[in-house]
Amino acid sequence: MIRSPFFTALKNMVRNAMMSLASILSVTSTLVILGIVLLLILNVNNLTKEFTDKFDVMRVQVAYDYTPEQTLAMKTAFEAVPNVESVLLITRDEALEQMKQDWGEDSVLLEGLKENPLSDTLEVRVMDVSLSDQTYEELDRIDENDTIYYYKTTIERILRVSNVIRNVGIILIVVLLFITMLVINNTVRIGIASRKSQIQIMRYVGATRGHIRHPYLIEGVILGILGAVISSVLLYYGYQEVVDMAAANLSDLTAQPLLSADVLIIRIGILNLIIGIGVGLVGSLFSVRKYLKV
Amino acid sequence: MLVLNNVQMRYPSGTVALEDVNLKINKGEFVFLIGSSGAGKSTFIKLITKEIDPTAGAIFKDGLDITRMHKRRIPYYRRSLGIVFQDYRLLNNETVYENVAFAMRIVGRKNREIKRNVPLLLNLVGLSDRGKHFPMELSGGEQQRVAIARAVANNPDILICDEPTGNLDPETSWELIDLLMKLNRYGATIIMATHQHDIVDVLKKRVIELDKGRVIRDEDHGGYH
Repeated sequence: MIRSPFFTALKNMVRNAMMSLASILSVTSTLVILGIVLLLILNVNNLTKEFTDKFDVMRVQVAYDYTPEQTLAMKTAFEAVPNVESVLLITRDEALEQMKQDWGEDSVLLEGLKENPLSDTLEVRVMDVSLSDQTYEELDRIDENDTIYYYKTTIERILRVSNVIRNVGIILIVVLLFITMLVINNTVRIGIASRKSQIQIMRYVGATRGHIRHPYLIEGVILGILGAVISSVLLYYGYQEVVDMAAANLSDLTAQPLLSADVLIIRIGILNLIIGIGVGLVGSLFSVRKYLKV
Repeated sequence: MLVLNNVQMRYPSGTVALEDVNLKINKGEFVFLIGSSGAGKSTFIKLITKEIDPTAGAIFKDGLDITRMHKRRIPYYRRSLGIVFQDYRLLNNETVYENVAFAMRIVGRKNREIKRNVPLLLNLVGLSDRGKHFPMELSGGEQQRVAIARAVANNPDILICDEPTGNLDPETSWELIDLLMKLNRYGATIIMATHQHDIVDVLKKRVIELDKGRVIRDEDHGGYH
């Protein structure tokens, strides 16, 4: 039977079952909290986009005395503006026709009009709603006699709220990563006490750095992977519950208020794996290094 | 085999642990290293196991100056030594068999070889039936025998024993000394630091006595005095 570093690592883990469990638990719990914050941010981003997308149209009322040619020239100029996705021309005649339909029986009131009192309208659809202010200014520069309407305050309010949530979330993640490092550092430090003599003995017998280090590194990575897998599973089922609950209670607000768990879990799972492995590696490297100097 | 040239060791605190030590230890010798506490015995052992480097002088092992050895070579140098400590220093979460086997595994011996040799080594130290036990299940004397089996597992050039009987009762101590004598007869070079007068007096081997860091006596077939 060949005693590979992998086998030694597994044996160490089983022999120090309580220590291993403590490490896995600390990695798992911090990754779960990290995941919750991350899910929150992703969903806020998604909701912001979904809400603001409904306010992506600017209405431009063309000056009353403009000829169709002038209006068309404006339309072409608007289409060249960077953030503009499309421009729809609604002529004054079309607008009046629409008005008549909307008014139904009352449209007789409109029959008496000698001249169409309405002006042409350009409906400008923007690509990125958060850039609306900038786009507004560029559109405004093109023609002096038009009037532009858009959902300025609504968009601003939504963006402001989502920005606050996002920034708080990012700060939370940084703090959590710091706490994770402290927890791992602590766990590892407890582990050192039991391993100090073991490492020293190996040095005296003539073990190279590699001999000593490899099993510990592998152990750290295995602990990290286990923590990542457990936290990912917990996050998946927990989040699935929240999604179902949200769908049941908030379905009148939007069709699908939260991002689907199946899509997110892959991203979060990969992220958890990277963090788990990284933390496990760094943790065990740190703990062994100190006692390699004998 | 082992030569010390004008070795001096001053610790950063200013303590002079060894001064002007010149020694030559030949293959197959059994050498007692004696002296009161603080005389420099521990420093001497730390120097030849390359735990520390002298502040002056040179230490040659088979003509090679170990004080100028690269850090990466240290593990390979240590494999040519067998080290036995007063407190055994066994891996307590490994079986007796594993404690001996892992020393052989570290130097890259084949599994077949390990399986054949570990029982022979355990038999040599009189622990044939203890292979599956953990160190804590053994008496102090038995644990020290495991340590000796581990130390000689790779046929070291020198067996270094730092107060190996320090934690043992007189009777067990003598059993251990018998084992060391047996290994010496088989050709092992042994350096043993000790406090125990009776052992030194009875064996009449070479005695190197240290006092305040200096060698004050080096005689063949000496006693403790």
